[in-house]
Amino acid sequence: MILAGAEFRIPTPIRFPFLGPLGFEAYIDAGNVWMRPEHITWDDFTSRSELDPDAVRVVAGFGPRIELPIGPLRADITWRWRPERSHDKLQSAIGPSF
Amino acid sequence: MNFQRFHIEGSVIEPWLLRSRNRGLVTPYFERYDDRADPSWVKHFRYQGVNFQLRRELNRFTRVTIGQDNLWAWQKFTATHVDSTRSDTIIPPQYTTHRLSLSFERDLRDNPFTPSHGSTTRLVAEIAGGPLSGTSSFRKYQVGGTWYTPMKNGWILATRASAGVIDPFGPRPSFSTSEGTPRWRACRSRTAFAPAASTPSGTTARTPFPPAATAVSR
Repeated sequence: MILAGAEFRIPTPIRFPFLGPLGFEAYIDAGNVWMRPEHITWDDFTSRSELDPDAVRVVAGFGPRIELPIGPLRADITWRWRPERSHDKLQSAIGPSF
Repeated sequence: MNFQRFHIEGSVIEPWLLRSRNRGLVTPYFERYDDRADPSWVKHFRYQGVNFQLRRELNRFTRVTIGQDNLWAWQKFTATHVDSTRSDTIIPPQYTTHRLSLSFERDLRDNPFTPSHGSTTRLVAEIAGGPLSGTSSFRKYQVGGTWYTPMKNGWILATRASAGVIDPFGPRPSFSTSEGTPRWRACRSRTAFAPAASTPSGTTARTPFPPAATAVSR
């Protein structure tokens, strides 16, 4: 198993007091699970076949966030980017993303 | 509206166990999870269990935890476009996992809720099954880290990486239907991006799950 991700968190450039906790984030996550380390090949990172179990899954998303005392309240529009593009989805959560 | 995940847990904490610097936690939990990432399938999961932890703070930033987790899981895949009976042939309806874990965590973040700089490191070793019983027996080792890098204009770049290996041992589990016909044999592993503050299992809705043909468990 190898997992990796990167996330940009971008605070609102407008610093009005009531907008202070409001921010914006964009992220990309990627990963997969392989049976053996020797099964990991470069093709797994370029495969566009949904039926390829070794193809690296990549998910991207973006959305606003509000900082609360118990952690950020997030709402994201997300979609699977690889191996095949999926429909957009809306998801929300409370708490740090990681 | 369909909720993707419902999770509830509660912990009983003894901060000074036996008047020592060790913290004890008992955490029962319940989770229902419907995965609709693939429009062809709805994967229904129900997890319940109890987790015991003994934690020691080595210093302000570092802690070591010994855990014992008992998980009872039920799962069902419902096909939305194809013959629904197919799911019965590849998915075990239920399984149990009993595991021991030893973890080392180092947290150098400036804020656990909204970190702007710092990093975390986590090393986990687990053993499940064997003398602990349960459906599957395996050893699992994971290492992970997150890094928060402040950039210009107040932007923050947050990166993370984790990797692990799982090593099944012992007899392979077999699953049977009520008729007694073995239909599914495999050793399974599910690992997800793991924010420590979310669930005992450390799952998030952003996990890029393997395809339906890859059985998932934890």
